[in-house]
Amino acid sequence: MLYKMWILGAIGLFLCTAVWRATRLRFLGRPIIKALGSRNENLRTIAGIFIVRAGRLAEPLLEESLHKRENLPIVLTILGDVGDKRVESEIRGFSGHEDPKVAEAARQALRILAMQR
Amino acid sequence: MPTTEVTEPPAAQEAFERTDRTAVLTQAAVLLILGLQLRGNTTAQLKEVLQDTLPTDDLAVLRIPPLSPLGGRINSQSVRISLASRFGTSVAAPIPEGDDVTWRSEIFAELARDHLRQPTANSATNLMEACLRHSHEIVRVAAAAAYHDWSSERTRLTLILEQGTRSADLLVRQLAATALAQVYPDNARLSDLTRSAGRAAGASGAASYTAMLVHGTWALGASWWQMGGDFHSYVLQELRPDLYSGEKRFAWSGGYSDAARALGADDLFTWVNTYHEQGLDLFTHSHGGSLAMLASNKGVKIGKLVLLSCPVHMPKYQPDFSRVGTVVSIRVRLDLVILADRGGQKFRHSSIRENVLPIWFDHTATHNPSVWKNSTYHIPAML
Repeated sequence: MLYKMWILGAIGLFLCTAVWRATRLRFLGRPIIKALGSRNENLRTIAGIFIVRAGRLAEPLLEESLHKRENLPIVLTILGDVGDKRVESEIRGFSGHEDPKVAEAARQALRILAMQR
Repeated sequence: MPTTEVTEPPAAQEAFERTDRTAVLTQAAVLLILGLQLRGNTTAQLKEVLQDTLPTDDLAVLRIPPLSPLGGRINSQSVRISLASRFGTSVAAPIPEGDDVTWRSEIFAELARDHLRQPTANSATNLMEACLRHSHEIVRVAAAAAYHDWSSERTRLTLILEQGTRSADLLVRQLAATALAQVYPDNARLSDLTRSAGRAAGASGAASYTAMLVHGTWALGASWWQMGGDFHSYVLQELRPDLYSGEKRFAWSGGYSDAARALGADDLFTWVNTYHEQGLDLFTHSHGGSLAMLASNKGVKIGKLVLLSCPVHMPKYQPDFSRVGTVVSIRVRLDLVILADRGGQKFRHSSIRENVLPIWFDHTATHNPSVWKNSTYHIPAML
């Protein structure tokens, strides 16, 4: 049953992303951002890929997530991938985070940002 | 078969009437003892052999009766015909090459009963011949090991032992390799094992590692590939005791961009040179494979490159084949993550051995230990 559920979730992500990118309506992107915190690795990965592919369209949603401290390691990495330099100083602030996973993700995101310059 | 600590083994007869793990391990032990009992040409020699290797109190616990030694090889074809006439046509099935061709457990129990009531060389070889079709790999390997010195058909037994060296079960691998080394020391499969065990030495003469896991996209913080994680533990315990388990394990950002992968490949190059780990076998998942391929182009030497659910983006990501031993790809059908990635679902390069599991959609299945342990997929044999 769980097996089928994640497949349905994945199909939902494919559809939701298509509509989000076509309409550019921010609320349609939120379920995709939320899926970054899914317990299912497949769903997390698919959501991450779609968000990176959305590029600038995803930046406000990612920044929103960053401010709310939601799904921090993966959001930090994605901010590095999409090259969002507006939040560079904020990312830097996380490089000394008490959670080593968050700190490591922030350091890696900064390296990716630097490489994309 | 998961690790089982046997503290109170059943007696030999009871073991063959049960199918639990303890009983199966005991059956394997009984077969090996039978092979040993058949050694020697005189009673004095037999006693010497048994005293050296088998404490009599252990034999007493298993209730294995003494057995007169066998003078020479027996005609295995005759044994098979005799078993076929006794148990019906089903016993004439070919020797199993996997886990799928097996006999009913009642046949083994009946043959064990025959032998334990009235032990003869014939009753022992009947049991050994039959157990080559046992449903448990460890019993088949033990039967092949015990029977090798007595059967007129050694080639098929060697094949079972060679297959055992590729088992997912560490105990089966060790048993098969040890037996193979005794009966056929020049076997090419043993040379393969020796090579893979001694290639890359770790830094400063410390632990020697020849394999390492490389995670994929967004998996930097995931546990499965790290020490103590489920896949790391499985590979370390069941497949590669030489898997990198040091504190300075390699990791990369797991970012989903060309820049992140390029940075990761540079880091891998630096890492292997810093820790003197050139030539490692790499088990990579997803774009961890892309990173490894990039790294080979930057000068990293790789023994065997195992690509698990790797999206195909050729020619952007392809190995430098002059720096990579062999490349094996293992994937599922219509991987949804690869679909989202818009990567290809299959490598079509002649130097990449492609294996597609009969599993659909699930990108994570290829680092799932229960998938690797499932004997119907034969994943360890793909490596």
